[in-house]
Amino acid sequence: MKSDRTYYLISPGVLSDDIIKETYSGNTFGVYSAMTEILSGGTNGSSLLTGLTLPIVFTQTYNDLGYYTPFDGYILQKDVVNNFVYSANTTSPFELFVYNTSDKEFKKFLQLADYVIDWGDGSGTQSINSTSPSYLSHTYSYSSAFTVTITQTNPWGVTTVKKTITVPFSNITITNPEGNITFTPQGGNWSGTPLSYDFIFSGDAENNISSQVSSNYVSVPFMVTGYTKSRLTSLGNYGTVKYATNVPIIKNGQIYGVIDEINNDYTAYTINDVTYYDYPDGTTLYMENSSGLTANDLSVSAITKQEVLLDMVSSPEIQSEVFIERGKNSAFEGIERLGEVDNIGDLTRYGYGFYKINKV
Amino acid sequence: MALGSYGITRPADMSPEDVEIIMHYTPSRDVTEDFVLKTLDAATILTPYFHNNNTGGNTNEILGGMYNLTLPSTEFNEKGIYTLYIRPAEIRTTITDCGVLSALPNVKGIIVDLNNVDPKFRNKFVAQGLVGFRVEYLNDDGTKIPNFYRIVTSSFYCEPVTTNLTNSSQKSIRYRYVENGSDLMFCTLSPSSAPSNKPNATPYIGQPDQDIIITNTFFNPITLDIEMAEHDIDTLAIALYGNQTKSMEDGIYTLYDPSNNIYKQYNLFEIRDEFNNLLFEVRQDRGDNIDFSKNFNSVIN
Repeated sequence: MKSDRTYYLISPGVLSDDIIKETYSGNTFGVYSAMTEILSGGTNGSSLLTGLTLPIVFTQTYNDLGYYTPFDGYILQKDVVNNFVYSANTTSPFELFVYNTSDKEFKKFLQLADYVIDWGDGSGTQSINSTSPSYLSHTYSYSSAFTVTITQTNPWGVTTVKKTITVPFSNITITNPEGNITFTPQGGNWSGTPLSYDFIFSGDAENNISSQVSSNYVSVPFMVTGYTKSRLTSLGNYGTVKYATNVPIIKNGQIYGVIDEINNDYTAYTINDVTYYDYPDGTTLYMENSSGLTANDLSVSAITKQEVLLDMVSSPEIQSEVFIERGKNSAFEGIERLGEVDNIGDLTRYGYGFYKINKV
Repeated sequence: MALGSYGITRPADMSPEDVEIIMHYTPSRDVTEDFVLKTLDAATILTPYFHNNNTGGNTNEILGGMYNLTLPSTEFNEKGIYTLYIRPAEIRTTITDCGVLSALPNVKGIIVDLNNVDPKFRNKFVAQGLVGFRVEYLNDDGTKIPNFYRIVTSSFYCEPVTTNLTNSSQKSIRYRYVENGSDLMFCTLSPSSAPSNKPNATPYIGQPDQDIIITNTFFNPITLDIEMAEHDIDTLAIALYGNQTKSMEDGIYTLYDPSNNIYKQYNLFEIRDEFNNLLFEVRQDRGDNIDFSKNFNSVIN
């Protein structure tokens, strides 16, 4: 941070308060007082210079604090083999909704691995094989803290996820949002030994757009207007009547624009909801309503900060935002499996000439 | 290849409440031990300039950069050297906890309890209100860790989420953001992530119960060296080039400024011995005893 130093010299030569007006023989003149007398001549030895001020200048040397970028990781629940979330509401505080958030693909892969839920109130177990957004609900008959358990058995072991809920549901009070998962291996040295750890809570803060936007947009749109070049020719038709009013012009399957009015004073037309007026003097006026920055302009994403832009990263570091997507084939590079080869041409091209074809 | 350039200095437009003014006084340049060091109330003596009809802005729009500093007469009442050190105000508080976000455990930060913050600074402790502030740290013995600081990169209200660790009596406290209604503020700092070439070298961001100093960076510190003196070039010019009169009747010698105000008056006389030999020619300052009849207009008319 830069620091400035400025010097000021204050003496009777730059002060007016130390000149006392006197009159003698009709002549009015001033008489200087000594600086010492001025500085201590006030009440309790204070200075007589009560209006002594200095104009000074402050500057700020600034650095961009960096920009926020969408989190360059894939955020999802940490363990997808077995997990669930739950919800409730105050209108029906004894009813709990449980969503099985285990990975669908995992379920497809292990079709025999069913999920069983224990509501924790002694009401027995229940299968919960459909995943979120489907849910199971359960109504508790009395107030207490219940441990909801979902168990999934697969060939490698048993995973159980436990989360404690409090009934009746009163408000947004999360007593144990992270839950706990236990895995009991079916074989090996650790067979039968339960291993457990806590889940990471998946919902942080209230992450929706309506909570993020504030007064940055207005509910009553305001007019945005200005001058531009005529775009009337883009609304021309084929045929004898090139420009017709109230005839929508279709482009790419959607309404592109329409000529609203043609008269001696102006030609009014609309293109992509922007209204244009062409005047005889060659000017074109456009008008459009805007609501400023609206929720449509915003998207929700986790944010991280590029510390490298702060000039504060203390060591060499390579930061990259290049992502490689695996398994994507070019549209121009058709690849067929062997079972899809059904003619000689396919066979010739298969595997970039894998088969040696002898033409006779 | 750079597409352009931008300046990194702007006129500051901070509030006087964001300023701290420290006054150092010494009666002379060589008196270095017997000095006065005290804080002046910036909110009282510092006033921003606002636009007027001649400067192009609204009259309620701050001009930016230029402020008026009043030198209080109760403090600037002696000749000598006053050094005013004007710097961003310091907010002194304590780290309540150091933690991570429950949903993003790789996001570390310090948690500050607003109840430990001076009420006059609590208006800064709102969502994103501390971004850009600097955090400096104190040791247990009250000394300051030198040459060490962190920058606040975000600040949001938060509340703790408690989790029992397996096989341990410890508790893992994590934090989640809340919109409001919390006395705790989660501040992320930079740097707080380890370099990629040594992932276990997590930067120090403080520890619970550690005293810290949070400072805004709204402006650069400045130093004003104000010397209250009897003479400057203008007064010396009065003595050299100004009008002067010498009364031959009573020997009163008068110096006038450009407006013919009486600047100084002296008695001129000679001292002789009993043999009428001239021993001294004397010029004696008359001080407050000014003979008004020697005003310039009366003399020359």
